[in-house]
Amino acid sequence: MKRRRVLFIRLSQFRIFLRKLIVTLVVISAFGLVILSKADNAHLNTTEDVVARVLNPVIRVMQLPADGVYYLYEKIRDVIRVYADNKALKSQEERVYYLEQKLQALKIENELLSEMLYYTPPEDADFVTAKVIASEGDGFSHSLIAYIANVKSVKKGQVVLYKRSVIGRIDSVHGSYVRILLISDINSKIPVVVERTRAKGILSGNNTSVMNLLYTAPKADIVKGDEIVTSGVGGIFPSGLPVGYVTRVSPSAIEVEPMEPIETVEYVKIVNYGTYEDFFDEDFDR
Amino acid sequence: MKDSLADTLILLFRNLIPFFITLFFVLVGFVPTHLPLSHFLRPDFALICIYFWVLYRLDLFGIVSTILIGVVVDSLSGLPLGMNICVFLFVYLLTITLAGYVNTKPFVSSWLCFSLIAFLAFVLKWFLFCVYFRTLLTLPHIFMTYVSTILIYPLIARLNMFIQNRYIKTRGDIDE
Repeated sequence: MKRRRVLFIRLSQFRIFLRKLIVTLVVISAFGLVILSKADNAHLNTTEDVVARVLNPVIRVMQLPADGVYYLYEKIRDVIRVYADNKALKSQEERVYYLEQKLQALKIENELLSEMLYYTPPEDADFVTAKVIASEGDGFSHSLIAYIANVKSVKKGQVVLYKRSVIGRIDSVHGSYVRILLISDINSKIPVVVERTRAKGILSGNNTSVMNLLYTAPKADIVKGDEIVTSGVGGIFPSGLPVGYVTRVSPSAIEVEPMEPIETVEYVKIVNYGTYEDFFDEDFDR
Repeated sequence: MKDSLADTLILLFRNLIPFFITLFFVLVGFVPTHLPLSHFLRPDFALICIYFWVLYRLDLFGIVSTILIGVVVDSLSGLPLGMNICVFLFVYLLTITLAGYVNTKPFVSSWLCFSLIAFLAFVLKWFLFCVYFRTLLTLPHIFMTYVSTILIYPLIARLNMFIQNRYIKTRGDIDE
């Protein structure tokens, strides 16, 4: 009798094949997700929103010990600084140092908030002061997450100032938290002018601490130290807001540094100029 | 004898420790310290934890945990959803491939292996980023992130080892 040829597949082999198939499908799906993100899919935005709403309060709580570390660092730095002054001024300074130490805790917070009032927005604008609870500053993304409590007037696209200069704009609002796209982020493009010569250009971030001034006229009069302000072109940023200083001018690039150090931002001012409502709606894709 | 509900819950909690530890470190990475250079020296804690747990406890940190961590990192960092998932899956697959070799070697070998995997992961992330945004991203800043990730690996790995040996251990100690 002729035996029938049967293809035997062991169960373990089938499992291995199935596992590999699942992993392959997952990897392909992940790539698909990246492509789908480009199309500003509403479901993906909802996923991001849910994750941000759930985890931002956790980060806010975790920030407390980090604040303590920073407070200690500030203390140590201040002590070293005051010690140096003290050495120079000898005994006269000792009393001042003692009083400074007593006032230090209140002073740090007070200084931060009062310094923010250097810039006064126009009368038709209102602003909200928000505490920064998270920051992303690696080579791939430059953004902040700030706590705005229950303020409803904060919307996508609004201008974010530090003490007196622009540091970014609202990228997304997640309940009581907002993500701020910093001017140093590669996605940030701001129409600006050189205050001294009114030479126009586009300030572009590149995920480093230095930004690039692009699309300037070939013979534009721009020198190191020039102040860069917003031009108001496009209507998103009002004109005249300080942004940074030119730090290097070469034939290939014009580099601009932010007016204020972005990495030390603790509080920000979110200003509603009401100039961008037509530009940013719920479906606006950055 | 059947396990009681409490035993089951304890076991479940124990099995979820690697995921929550990774999530914790991911959130730590987002906390602003305002200290000098903190804006530049940003270790990728997620990469470290995923590598560690996949290498030593694949039974507790599978592909689902990897994807979930990717979703969290993408959502918080503002990068397109899927970018970090791709990178973490890449790390997951590479780690599984090299696990048989690295698991039996001293700690330094796993550190070196992580340096290699992290390098490839950063290259992949850089490539995806450049393609997605159609721009060439400058490398020095990313290199700083890579170096800080490599340098902090021993510390995070030791912490994870401590947690594994103290609270999870069911398959024996990790060889150091």
